[in-house]
Amino acid sequence: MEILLEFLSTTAVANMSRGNLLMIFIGAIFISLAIRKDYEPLLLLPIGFGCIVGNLPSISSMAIGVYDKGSVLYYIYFGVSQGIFPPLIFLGIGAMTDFSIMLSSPRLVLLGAAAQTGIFLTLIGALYLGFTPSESGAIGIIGGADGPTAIFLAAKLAPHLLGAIAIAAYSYMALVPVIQPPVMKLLTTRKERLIRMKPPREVSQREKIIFPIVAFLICALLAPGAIGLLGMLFFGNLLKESGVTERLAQTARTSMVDIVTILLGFSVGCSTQAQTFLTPQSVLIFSLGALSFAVATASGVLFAKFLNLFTKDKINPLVGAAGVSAVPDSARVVQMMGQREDPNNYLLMHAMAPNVAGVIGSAVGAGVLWSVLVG
Amino acid sequence: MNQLALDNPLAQGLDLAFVGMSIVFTALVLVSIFIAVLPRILAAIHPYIPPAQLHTQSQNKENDAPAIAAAIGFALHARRQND
Repeated sequence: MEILLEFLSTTAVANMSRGNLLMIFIGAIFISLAIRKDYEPLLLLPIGFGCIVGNLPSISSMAIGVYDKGSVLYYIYFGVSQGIFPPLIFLGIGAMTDFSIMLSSPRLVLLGAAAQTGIFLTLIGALYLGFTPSESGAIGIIGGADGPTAIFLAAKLAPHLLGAIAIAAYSYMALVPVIQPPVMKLLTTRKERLIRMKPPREVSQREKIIFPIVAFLICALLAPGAIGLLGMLFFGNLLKESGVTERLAQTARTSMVDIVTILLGFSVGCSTQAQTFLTPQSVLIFSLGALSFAVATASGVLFAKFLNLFTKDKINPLVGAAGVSAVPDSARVVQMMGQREDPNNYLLMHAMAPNVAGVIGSAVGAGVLWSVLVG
Repeated sequence: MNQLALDNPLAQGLDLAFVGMSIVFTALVLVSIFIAVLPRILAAIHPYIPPAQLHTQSQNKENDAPAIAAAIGFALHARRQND
């Protein structure tokens, strides 16, 4: 009987806190959003299940959780805590990204830069709220709307906030169709939303091959902190465009990126243990994250309107919202908003240009923050 | 090094935001300029390095597969008819 009672005292039921129950409930909501609403299912489902796994309490003498050295989850989480998974995901993204639209519309690249304002304004907001400079930099990157970049920088600058930042970044990426449209509508007139853009020119294979090499050199020379992310992104793209490594590109954009996504999503979910996750800081991070997405969207839209003051071929300002690097969700939102006004206006291909430029921009932003703030 | 952790982090945060945005813009403006001039550069080097030879070998291997299969099929068909 004594053994039975001792055993019962070690079960998850006996050690469950209200915080753990809440996190398990949040995990279930993520799974539900992924399945029922199709919101970023490839990420929210592993993260959601990871939340459930990570919040089942275990006795301290057993190494089970992501923070217990020697546990299986610890070694899986190693890829997150050491910033290994994000560059591998970037390799896959590079191998699946077609930069043709961006190469045919160089001015749209600037929208990807403008949307990164969200990163730096959020950084100022975080500093104002009392976060340290390193923490503020890691929180600010949520405004880049790029999950792997957010994880990469948080792992380097503020590992103790990694769980909250990763969950905030991926949650808001999933909520792009909810957060962006009101901002886009508020900042544009109907006439602007009806603007039709010129079809992009055809891009030669030579341009596609040269671009990743030179673009990498430009970005890495300015922001060496971004070498890990951008090196893998452009390397993946070169594998795709070279025409001689199709097998490698195929692996990078399918099997490899899928394996890493599973491990990353699940272990990030496991890291959200109530004891470390449910803090006032997390609430602030979520609030700042929502704000940074809205600011990034607004910056892209307003910058597109600004460019229209000087250009003959007008840009539909909705396209500016795709400067946040949630690929391809924000481009899809632009398409949806444009077609609400004019069902025959196809903005998706135009929106992909700032969208992929935003990926580059947020990685450069992360590189700058890492270089300056690493202590 | 964390110099920002000094007396007035908010003011220095503003500096960092300004510098950070400047670097992001500079990088993407340079990328944008490069993209804009790339077709002209390629046109200029075209006489010296013709693009037609680029990676056509491996692409041709894939593209030729149906043609080779069709040729083999035709040869077999012709032989059977002759038999």
